[in-house]
Amino acid sequence: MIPYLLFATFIGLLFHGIHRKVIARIQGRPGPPIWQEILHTLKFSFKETWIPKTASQTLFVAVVFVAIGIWSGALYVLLSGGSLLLLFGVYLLHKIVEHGMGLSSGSPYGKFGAIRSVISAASELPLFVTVIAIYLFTRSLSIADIVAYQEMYGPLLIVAFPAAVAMYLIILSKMHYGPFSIIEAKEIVSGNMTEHFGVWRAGLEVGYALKTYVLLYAFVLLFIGQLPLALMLLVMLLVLISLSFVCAITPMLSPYDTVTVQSLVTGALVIYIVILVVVMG
Amino acid sequence: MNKQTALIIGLMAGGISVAAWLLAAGGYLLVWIAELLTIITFPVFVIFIALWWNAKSGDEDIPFIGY
Repeated sequence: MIPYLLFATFIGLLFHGIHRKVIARIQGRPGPPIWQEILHTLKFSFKETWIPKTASQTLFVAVVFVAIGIWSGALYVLLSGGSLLLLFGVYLLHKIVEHGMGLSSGSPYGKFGAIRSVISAASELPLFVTVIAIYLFTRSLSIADIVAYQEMYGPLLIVAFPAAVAMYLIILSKMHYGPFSIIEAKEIVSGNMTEHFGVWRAGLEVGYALKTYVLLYAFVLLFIGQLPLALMLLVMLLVLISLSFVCAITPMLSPYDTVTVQSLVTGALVIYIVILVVVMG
Repeated sequence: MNKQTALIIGLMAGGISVAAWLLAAGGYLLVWIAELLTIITFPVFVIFIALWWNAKSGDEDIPFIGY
């Protein structure tokens, strides 16, 4: 399955490039070519590589392996129709990766990024609500069952629209240059990734490309259903472009505002869940 | 890291993953074990191939020292 993982990495990197291009065009700039992130990853892989003297060496390197490993696992969970809770678990592990990446570096910028990743844990709250809402409709947390439910009753995007909005917010909070991207804000250089360069950064780019592929794939699978691969990629691209549009027109929020917005959305969705429970019994 | 060592480790990781999937396809290995092996070996494959690419191969050009 290494070919599929390499394919997903390639598409994920291409999506990152398209994301940058769309943001640039909306903001009236020419922007980089769409394959820029692929070149970026290749460039990093032959840049000089070392571990900073102040870093915790084992953790500094281990997070790169873990970042790639967990999203490879998440891709298998999706493709094999496994449990939605496993996907949720990977999302939580990614938070640990973000945190460990910043703290292990020994850099104050990295540490600021790590602290902000803890603050932005509020972005996981809408994920709880998404999982609960999907369960209330499908009575299962197996991705295969959720897909089968949609084949019988139509896309969850229509009947569980607020849950789709919550999932959309989760993906938005993980996009580069987005309103919730506080962990890599420019005022803290590159945040938790500041000290990871060379091969380590190339590895992280691979992990993040897989993450983008998995999250977009999961969104389409959970709220629209199983599609042929070409159509799936096209729908994923459309979701990505809509995310790019939001990122282009929305300034980055301050750390506490991101928590406020995500908590408010979660609060609204909890009310939605309570209504669903009352109505559906 | 030594260039050759990085290449050997990277190729071994890739080889283990491919072998696991071939064995799983042939029914000699459970699919979840093949998946687990790939999840472990894929990061090793990516990083060590990059380290192999990155490592110096011996005598390099004289570095540019400015005008």
